[in-house]
Amino acid sequence: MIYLDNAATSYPKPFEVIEAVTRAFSVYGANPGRSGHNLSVNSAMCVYTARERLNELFGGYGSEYVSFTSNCTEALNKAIKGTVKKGDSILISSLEHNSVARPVFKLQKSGKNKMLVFDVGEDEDKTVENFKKALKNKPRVCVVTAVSNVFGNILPLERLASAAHGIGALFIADGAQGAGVVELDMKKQGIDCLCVPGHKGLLGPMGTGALLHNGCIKNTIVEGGTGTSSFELSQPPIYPEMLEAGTLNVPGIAGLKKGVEIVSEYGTKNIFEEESALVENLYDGLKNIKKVILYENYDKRKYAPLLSFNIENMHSEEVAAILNENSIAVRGGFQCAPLAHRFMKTESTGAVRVSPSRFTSKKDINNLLNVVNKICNF
Amino acid sequence: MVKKGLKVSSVTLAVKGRELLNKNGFTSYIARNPKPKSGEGCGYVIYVLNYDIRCLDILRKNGITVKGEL
Repeated sequence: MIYLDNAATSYPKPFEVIEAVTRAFSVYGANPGRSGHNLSVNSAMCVYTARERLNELFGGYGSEYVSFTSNCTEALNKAIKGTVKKGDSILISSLEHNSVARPVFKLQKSGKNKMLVFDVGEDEDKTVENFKKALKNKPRVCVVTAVSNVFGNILPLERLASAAHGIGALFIADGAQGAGVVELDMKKQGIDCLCVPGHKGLLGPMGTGALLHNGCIKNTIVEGGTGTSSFELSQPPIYPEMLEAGTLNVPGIAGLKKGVEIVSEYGTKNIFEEESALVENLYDGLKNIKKVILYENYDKRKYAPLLSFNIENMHSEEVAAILNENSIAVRGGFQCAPLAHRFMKTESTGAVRVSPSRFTSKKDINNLLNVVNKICNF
Repeated sequence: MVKKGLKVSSVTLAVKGRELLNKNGFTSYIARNPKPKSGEGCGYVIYVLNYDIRCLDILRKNGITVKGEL
């Protein structure tokens, strides 16, 4: 099988990640932060080191400001619901995933908050202009994806965060597709909260994610045991445990730590360049196939290394199914991003999303192009 | 050498504190708070084997609040 669905989850995982997960079951078998024996402290050390690695990779505000979650969606829910207050407006982009749109919509439906949407423009300047116009409605929280999970647009986070801070709003970045692929530096880019999945560009296991922040999260949506201040019935306001009620997924975190180390060692920039070269090949090939519909003029300065397309008179799921019959794994449909599909006018067909990884070869891309060519000429 | 236990709120702060102190030439380890006060609940202690007053400065400068000493 040629796997080109890394935007859903990266596969294969590096051997070292698999080994780290397996090893954790025997070496880090005790519960971290619950007991004082050596096994528990060893587990806590593994978890702490993972926090450090994430904090370093993303230019964060300190290891205690890194909380583990079960995925990026949970991190986004904790960030959004942990920062908004009754009466606040929340501004999101027209390319947001349901992991942002649904929690914000639910807050709006409850009558407590208002959802505002700004359109991503055809270039960076237009996006910033639209964002600034939307800021006139005085949102208190802005949530913007680093990279569109459908069309790959890279959003100018630094400029958007600066504009948001200019009116005193908080800036939350959804790093679902950006983490491990594009540069994300919280301090440099002015990101107040960064939500990342562990299992995509960071190469960790599914069921892992993290929420990095600067101390702006004041409320919790899950409460429970933290291993500390046991007599307080209120959730102790001490990061990161405040946002991590219950036992952590230590084997998953051990795998994520190894994944982050691999990404850091190899370099996000190198990963971006390698994957972008593959998408450039793909784009050039698709451009020359009659009946293929493309939605962008691919330019690696503007787009992350993933590409969506359609074939005339076919639903994206049909195309994905034929590719599957030819041992090629891609994602058709709507990628949980109805806002993005409405915005790009692909809500009737969805789109076929191709997302390579650094383990993808040029030959894999050529095989995909051959099959697409056959479908178009059938 | 003076051995002292510094109480902190969580295992994360305990590990972070231990790392900082050890990097600065102190010898420390962490353990559960062996004698929590009534109503205090569970917590962690950084034991420093060669404690001096600089330990508190190092922890404070790095955002770690010492909640008491043992």
